[in-house]
Amino acid sequence: MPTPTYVAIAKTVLTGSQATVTFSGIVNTYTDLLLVVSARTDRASWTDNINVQMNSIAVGSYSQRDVYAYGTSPLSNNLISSNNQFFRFYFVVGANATSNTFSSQEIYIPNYTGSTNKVFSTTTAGENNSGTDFAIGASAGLVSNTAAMSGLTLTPQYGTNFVSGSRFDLYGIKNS
Amino acid sequence: MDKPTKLVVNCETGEQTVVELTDEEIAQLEADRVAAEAQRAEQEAAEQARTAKRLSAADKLRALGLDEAEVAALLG
Repeated sequence: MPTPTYVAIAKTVLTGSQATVTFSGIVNTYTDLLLVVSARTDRASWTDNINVQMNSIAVGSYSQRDVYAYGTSPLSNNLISSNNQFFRFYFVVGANATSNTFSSQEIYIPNYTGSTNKVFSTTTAGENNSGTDFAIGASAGLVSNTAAMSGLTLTPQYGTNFVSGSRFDLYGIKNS
Repeated sequence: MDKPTKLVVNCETGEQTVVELTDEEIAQLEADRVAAEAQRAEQEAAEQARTAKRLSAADKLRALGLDEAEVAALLG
């Protein structure tokens, strides 16, 4: 029997509002991690972002490069300084988006237990049944910390809560 | 009023726990949101200033005799 490469570590579907969602005690038996998010926040807008923090790694350890487009705005890119508190994960759906729509987002974190700085990549699509309000984004980033990663915390950037129905799935990936 | 809560998913045990945020955590989240709003306003102002400069540049190019296609080719 072949060794499975994607293994579900944990999943949660919110049944009420939560200000943050934390995955703790992530085991070190995999090579890479993949976090899949389908979420919505209570921000009074059609879109929001998610702040992601690894372990409790300190302010000033995160940097990233982004390419994104939303609404009628053209493709943009933005370099966030290396003095950030977390990495930013574009675009989660906000409260003004079509009811019962959620984002489609992924974060990939290779070598999360290694003794080098951690890198990550993200892709996202803000779902919305609108002819004009939709969003895509991709980011590449670095966490300047050599500790093994055992926890992830997600928080809406602008909204106060993730709302009911938001789903978070964490997978471990083995390279064998 | 109830305090906001966080969901903690323990990946080793599978246990999911809802915990009230501490006053310190609430204050930190609020500070983060204020900072995010300030950053967003700053970016919007910068984008508006850039748009105004593009429009101004387009007008000056037209005054030099460039047609609309040439202006568009230069400014994208």
